[in-house]
Amino acid sequence: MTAPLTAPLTVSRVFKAPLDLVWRVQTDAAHLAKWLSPANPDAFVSRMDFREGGRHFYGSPMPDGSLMYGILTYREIVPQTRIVHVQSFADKDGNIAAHPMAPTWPREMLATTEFADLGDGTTRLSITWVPLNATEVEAATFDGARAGMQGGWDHQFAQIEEYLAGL
Amino acid sequence: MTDALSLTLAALADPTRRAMVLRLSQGVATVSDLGAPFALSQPAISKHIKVLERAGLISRSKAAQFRPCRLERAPLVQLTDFMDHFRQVTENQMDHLESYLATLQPNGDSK
Repeated sequence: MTAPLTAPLTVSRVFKAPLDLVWRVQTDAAHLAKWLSPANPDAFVSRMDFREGGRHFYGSPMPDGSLMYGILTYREIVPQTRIVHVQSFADKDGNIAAHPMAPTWPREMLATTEFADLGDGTTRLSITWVPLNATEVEAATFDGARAGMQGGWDHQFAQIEEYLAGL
Repeated sequence: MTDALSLTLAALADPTRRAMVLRLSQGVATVSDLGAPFALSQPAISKHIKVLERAGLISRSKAAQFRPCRLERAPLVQLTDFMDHFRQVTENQMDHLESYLATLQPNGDSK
């Protein structure tokens, strides 16, 4: 069975590096090119405006030499703590577009990146993804009266995944 | 925007509808079977079922008198594929980041 299906999707890792460095390599375009495109950092195209409401338009080189374009729109920036951004696939002119290989996928995902100083020069980075549309439908649909029923997300999803694994 | 995956996720964002999907994973059920565990009005139950239908998660037989509901697997499979892909991409990026941080701290034990 694959990793447990949870929605939203969270990936978390602890790095042996201090918080300020982990923050810096995530928020500085020159650093980003080097770790997002380690095989060919010079081909990484980037126009970054790192502030709330600003955008980062980038083109990441693929193995075949083409560029995969994307846009991050920063919604919330809390230095060394949290970045909330909308992640979109894009075309070469910086317009939001469908994923070239998967046109049915959501065009916009909401990502929340959280930084935690664990001491001893280690830092935990957690990234949570959820399709933007689903988030906003959820926000509009869910009211306070339902809040008490929210506990079952992970458990029920694990059961749905178990069901799928058994097919 | 109403792409299929967002519809699926929006439909599954509600705990009552997730419970209905789980019930249907055991086999077909009528609307009253599906509503039985909940203290909800008939219109509320129908509304939940309509949301699941619109997302393509369930289909309803037209032939039988009680129009039983059946779980459709395709949207669930699409959702798990998508989640797996996104998880994989994010894990790969974390790998790259880890290697890069190691190069920036040549004296630290960064592995």
